[in-house]
Amino acid sequence: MEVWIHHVLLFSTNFSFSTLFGFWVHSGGVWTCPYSLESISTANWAIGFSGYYGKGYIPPAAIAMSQKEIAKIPIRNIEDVFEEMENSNRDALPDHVKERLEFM
Amino acid sequence: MEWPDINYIEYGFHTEATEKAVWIRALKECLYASDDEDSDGYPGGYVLSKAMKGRIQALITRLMTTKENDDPDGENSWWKQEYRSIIEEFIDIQASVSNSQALAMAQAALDTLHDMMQFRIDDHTIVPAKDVFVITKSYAKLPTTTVLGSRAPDIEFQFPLGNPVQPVDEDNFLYGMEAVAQVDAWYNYGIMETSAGVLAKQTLSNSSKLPSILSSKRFVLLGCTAELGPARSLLRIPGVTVLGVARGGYKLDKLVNFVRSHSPDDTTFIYNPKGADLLTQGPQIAQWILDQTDPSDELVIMPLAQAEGEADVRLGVAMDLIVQRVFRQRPKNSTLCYYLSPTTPMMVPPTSTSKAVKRLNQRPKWEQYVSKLSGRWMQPAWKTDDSNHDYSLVNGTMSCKGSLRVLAKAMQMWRSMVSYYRDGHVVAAPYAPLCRSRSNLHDLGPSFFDGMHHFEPMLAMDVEPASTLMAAIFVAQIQFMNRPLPDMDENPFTMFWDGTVQ
Repeated sequence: MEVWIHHVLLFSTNFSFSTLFGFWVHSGGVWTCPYSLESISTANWAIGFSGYYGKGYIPPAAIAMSQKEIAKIPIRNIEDVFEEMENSNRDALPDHVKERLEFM
Repeated sequence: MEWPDINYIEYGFHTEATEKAVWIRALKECLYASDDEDSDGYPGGYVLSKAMKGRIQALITRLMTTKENDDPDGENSWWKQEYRSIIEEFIDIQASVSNSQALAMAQAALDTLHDMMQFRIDDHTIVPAKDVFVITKSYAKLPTTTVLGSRAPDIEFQFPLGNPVQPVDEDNFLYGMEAVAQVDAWYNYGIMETSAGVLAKQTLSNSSKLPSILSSKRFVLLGCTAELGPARSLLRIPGVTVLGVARGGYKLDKLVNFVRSHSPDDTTFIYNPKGADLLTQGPQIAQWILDQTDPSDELVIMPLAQAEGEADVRLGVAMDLIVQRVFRQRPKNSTLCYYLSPTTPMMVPPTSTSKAVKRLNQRPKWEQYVSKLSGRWMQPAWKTDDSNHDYSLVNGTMSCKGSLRVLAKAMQMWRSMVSYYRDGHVVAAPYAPLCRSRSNLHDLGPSFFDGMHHFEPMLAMDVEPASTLMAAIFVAQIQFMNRPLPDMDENPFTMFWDGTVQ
């Protein structure tokens, strides 16, 4: 039950078409950094050496919220999500996609 | 395992000629593997365009260049200046040709290394490395010790994920939904592929089934004490059997103590009590693996060992020959796994480049001026071709790691391609993140990692979170042996996108 609730939560808060239809669509780190590793190595070192971020710094966005914080996020109604997508600039959802979403 | 060229004055090796020979022979094989009027009709070959032939010929010519008065071992030698762009061009060519041509290139490169590297049997006898792996039974057998854990198995096993917030404490782990939430946080931050997130969450949220699924497998870890390796994660799972190969010493003793104190009492760790050296005992290690496993066992073999400088390539060749020897005897039920490095030229999905372009547009303006004026700082990472929308190339090579590290890692890519597309093995070879491991801290310095976060979404992970995350992905990837047959028309580099954390 807990897992199911979590998936619904994820679905309704983080849903995007890319995660449904593409398997390899999001990436980050070295692959999506705007600069090559080699060309920022000096800058990395200098910023790190200056102590700007502190030793062992982790960006807050890369740390999970606690279960209490997650519980505070309102669960969006699936109908609202559909409506939002229908009213966006995208083409209307095909019927078979709607069926799949309803099934999920 | 030795290089063919020895520097008798400094008691070291000359590596440059062998390195170049590997890249050249692979390129020549691509020309041969094209099916046109100039060739002998290579089976499964495709016609190479004139432009592509020209690119290959030009790169061969460039590789054969020798500069007068160039000291090949000098810090500023021609090769040390040029290898980054040469290898980038090589990978671009290999990704642009057909699947069969790319596989022919991979096999030719591996064959060259197997042919050229030498194995020293004793002080007076040196033979080509590949030959000694044919007769592995004729060597003295390695001793074996089996150690079991001492903990009562958990009633419901939960796979641990290293807590990124306080990773210093070895027992600071996240479990279940908390671990899943952390994977989501990393995913949303942008450091992993969708497939990596799905695979990791599959392991973390369905851990209770793992012991029964993994009990029929035999995990062979070559270099089991590697920091980023999955040894500790696997040895926490009830009923798992791990065969570890590592040199004797402090690290191996520490791992054995870990098994005794942290592993469940039905988890088995099999190892050589004196340690085994991959460089000098390769044939014995291959035979030891075959002796310790049955043909009916599902074998999961994972080469993890790495070394500094030229020894990295020698280790890579030794492990590759061990894999080849074991797979020849166990053609079925065998899985091959690697963790690839993001500090190499990589083919990436086009959506990654779209994201990078978007991020570039959001960067401060002054960085663009620095980029243009300096010509070397803050340069875009990707290389795209307007006529190709299937992938783009990101060159993650770092000069401080050297050309030999790139060759060692390329060897792993080539073996993965050949094993998966041609030999029909299950292969899992995702990219692992750049983390604060001892070797990375030594090569790049701690300050490099502390400043890395300035360029979002770069994230310097600590070893424990990175190791457990990759182990969760790896466990999900190797659970089932019945995979769909590979598509022989697809770009072979796409196999490395599955489960990648960069």
